Amino acid sequence: MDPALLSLFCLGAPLVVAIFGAFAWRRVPGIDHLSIAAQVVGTLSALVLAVSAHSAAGFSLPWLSFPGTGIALSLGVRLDRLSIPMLLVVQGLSLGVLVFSRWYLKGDRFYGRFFASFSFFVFAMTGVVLAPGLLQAFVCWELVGLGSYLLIGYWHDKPVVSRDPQYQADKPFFATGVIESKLSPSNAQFKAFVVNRVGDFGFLSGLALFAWVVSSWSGFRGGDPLSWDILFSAAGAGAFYQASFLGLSGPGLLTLAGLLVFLGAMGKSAQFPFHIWLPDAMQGPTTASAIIHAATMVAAGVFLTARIYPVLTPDALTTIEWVGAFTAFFAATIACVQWDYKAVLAYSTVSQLGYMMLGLGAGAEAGGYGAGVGHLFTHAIFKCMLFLGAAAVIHALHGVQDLGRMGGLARKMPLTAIATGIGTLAILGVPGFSAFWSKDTILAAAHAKVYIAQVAGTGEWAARGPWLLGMVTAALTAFYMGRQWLCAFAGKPRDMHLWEHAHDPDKASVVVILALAFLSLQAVWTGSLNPFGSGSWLDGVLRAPGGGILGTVQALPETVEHYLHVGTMLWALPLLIVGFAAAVLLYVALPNMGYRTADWLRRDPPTNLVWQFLANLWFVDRACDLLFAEGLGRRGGEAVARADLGSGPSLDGAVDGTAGISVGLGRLSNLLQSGRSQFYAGWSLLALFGALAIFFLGVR
Amino acid sequence: MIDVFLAGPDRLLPYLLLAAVLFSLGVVSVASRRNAVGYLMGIELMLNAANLDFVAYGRFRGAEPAAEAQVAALFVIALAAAEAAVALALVYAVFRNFRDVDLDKIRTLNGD
Amino acid sequence: MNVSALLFWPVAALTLAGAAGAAFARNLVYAALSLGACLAGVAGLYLFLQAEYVAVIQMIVYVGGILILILFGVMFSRDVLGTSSRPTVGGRVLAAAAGVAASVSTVRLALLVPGLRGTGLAEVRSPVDSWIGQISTNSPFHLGSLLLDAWLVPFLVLGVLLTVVLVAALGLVRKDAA
Repeated sequence: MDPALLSLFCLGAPLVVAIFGAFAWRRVPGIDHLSIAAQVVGTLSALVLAVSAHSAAGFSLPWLSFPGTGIALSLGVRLDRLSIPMLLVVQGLSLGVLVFSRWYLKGDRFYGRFFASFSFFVFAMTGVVLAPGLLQAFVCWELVGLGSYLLIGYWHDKPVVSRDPQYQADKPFFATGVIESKLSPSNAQFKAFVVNRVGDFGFLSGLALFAWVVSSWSGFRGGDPLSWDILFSAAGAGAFYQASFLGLSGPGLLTLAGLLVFLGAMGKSAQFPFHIWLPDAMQGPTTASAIIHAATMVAAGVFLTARIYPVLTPDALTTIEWVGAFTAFFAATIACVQWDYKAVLAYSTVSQLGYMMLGLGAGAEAGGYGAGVGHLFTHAIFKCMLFLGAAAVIHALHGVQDLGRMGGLARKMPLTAIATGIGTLAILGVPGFSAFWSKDTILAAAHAKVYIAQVAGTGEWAARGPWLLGMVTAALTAFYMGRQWLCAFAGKPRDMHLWEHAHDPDKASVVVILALAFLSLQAVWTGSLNPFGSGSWLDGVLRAPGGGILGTVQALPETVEHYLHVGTMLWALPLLIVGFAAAVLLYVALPNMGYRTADWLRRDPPTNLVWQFLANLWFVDRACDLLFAEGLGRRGGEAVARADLGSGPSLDGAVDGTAGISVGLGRLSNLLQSGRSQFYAGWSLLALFGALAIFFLGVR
Repeated sequence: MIDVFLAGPDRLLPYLLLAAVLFSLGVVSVASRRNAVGYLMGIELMLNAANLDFVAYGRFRGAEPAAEAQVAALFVIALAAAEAAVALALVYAVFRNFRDVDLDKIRTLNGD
Repeated sequence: MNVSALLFWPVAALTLAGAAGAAFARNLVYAALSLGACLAGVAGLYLFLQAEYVAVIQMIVYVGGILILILFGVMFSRDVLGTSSRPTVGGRVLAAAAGVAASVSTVRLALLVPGLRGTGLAEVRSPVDSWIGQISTNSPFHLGSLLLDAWLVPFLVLGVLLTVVLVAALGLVRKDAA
């Protein structure tokens, strides 16, 4: 069957359900069945595509033509070795989450709307994945933002948490970072949209820059300058040397364009400082978070960066690597002190996204492309599964998310405990699980970049930083993820009443979770236990794309690669063990000592300062709130109001002043109207004869 | 210029200068007189000055005095008479209303 | 120098004096009578300009009609003697400025007329000469034929105007029927 047609099923089925559901969710029951049916169609199509397609395919239809310039921006579908696996991931995970959501949201007052919004989101995300060029990517990018807006703000009538008695009763004891007077689903959806918008401004600027440079290139023969083929060939043929903008040309200009588009990726993929929307997005249903914040929307940023890989200069890549490394470290430190189950997962997502960017930024020669993309896929699966596990736990505990009230749940929810246990082991990077392979590949790629820099003689210290941060973060990840699982499932229950009523989810949902857990095993991915074996079906996917400015990628010699990989593994495993052991000690083996240590860390200087800093989320959220919400928003609004309507100098005052001038002039002119005839006559005669005198005096 | 002045009635300039002076005196009168009738006297002065100009130009235009100038002067005199009649009727009406013809006191059109 | 030249200057002086009196005299009756003298002087000047008919009409209408009207008007003034109605300082300045402007412009205009310096346009003719012989262009006969020929329409309009003025004046002085 024509692959393009199959892909249209993936796009069209969710869209149809979304549009229908938007109008009918209140009146027609069974939107959930429709969504799931659409998803089944989509997943089957994606599977067929994955199995059968062997070369790049697709089509483009011209959409916006500019006659006379030869530019015709297009929409369409592009199927190649990056988009097909991603498509499969998106469609398959969406199916699983939808099945789970039927159990999770049963009886909710807005039930049908969730499925309609979800289908819309899937449609938009598929549009991004299948985009044949930057334009469709951008358009569907914005639609994805809309989809996440709808899903985060699902319970839009919930009040801010400072006024929500349920939240106040259930919130963790040490929750300090959250600005409670401003956290609500409607505020969170707004925050997500606005922060993404800032990134999208960069995306649009980069897009415009690309379009301009490519279309004014001498070798441009008409068509869509933003389509991948034309864009990459233009960049590779030196189009950026022919243009100049803001004094930049050539590599500098290309770096600028690439980084502008990366700004959009930073917004969607929650890189520092655009991460602030993701923890707040936990206000939405957990299953929504499972798909948005684990697997698809945040992955869109990484996907976009991978897509434009052939036009990213080494400078751009180094920047990306640093951004990713810092984000990974930063989010991991915060996750260590969070007591809300979902908050730990949220910051963990931010951290892992940072890892992906770190991997991509390591460069094609270091194997970074494959590392980043690989982690993208594995993380999507196990994080989605971890979120679904979180949903199961929260549902079982009637909405309580506080780690301090959980404990010993493994006895009551065995299947959930097994599945989330597998996911936690995966994210830790334990050998035998999927992320061991993908995460270590990222660290190896970062190390390889250091080596390449040493050989080239430049940029070595710039490359060491991300590698170091990545290593430290690995240890932190082991600690906080282990802590989370252990606090929830192991040890003694801390709240007997809650523990009594805990139970596993219903059958269909359990199947979903276990299926995802299975996919988190390493064997599925690489075909063997050796993480660095080649020849698996992934190799085709993970080979860096040629073209653009990359040319053909020279891989490192085998021996060097082997040495680097083994070296990384030898560093990573001990770090992992140390981190996990700390978690076990503090929370399970010696809980009392754990409490005393934690207390001491929290209260006594100097560690209490560190703890405050971390617990308050490095004050980033507060800073953004002060700067933008309070500063620009409220103060700015007040200043504008004062400038417009206030007393004193203002627009209103200016209008009044103009009127006042008119009144004053009128009063002046009043003096001429004295009512005395001789006055009138005198003045008019004076005026007339004065003019005549001047005239006659000048005449020869 | 002295010879022009000494030449007397058979030069145009003296008449013109005289008319100019008469006119100016009429303007002064109009601009300063508080009494309404004094005001009207100024208007009559101005009209006479114009008439004088008419006739003077007519006299010195060609070999014979132009009759049209004198016809114009006649018209002006008739009009001046009509205007004086109306003006004095107005003055009478104003007097009836204000019991005074002092222009400084008749200021109902005052802008303030 | 002949008789007409000799007579001319006193007549001009009389005119000027009368005008000055009409403009500046505080006593209104004096002002009115000065105006009369001025009008008479102007009539004399018309005689010098060979406009005899106009001179006569001037005397009849102006001095004999309008001046009487003005004298009647003077009777309505409370302040005939002119002790209390003096123009304000500002008014005097304004009047002076207007007068200066008027005089400058009219004198300058007068001086602009060509053919004034020395080369007279017209022959010198004394009023006596025109009585002898043919009917000259400034005779009443000629004026009358002009009025009824080329200037007929203005003449008729003037007639209508005088009628209208008559009615208007009557209407203005009528007491309002309550």
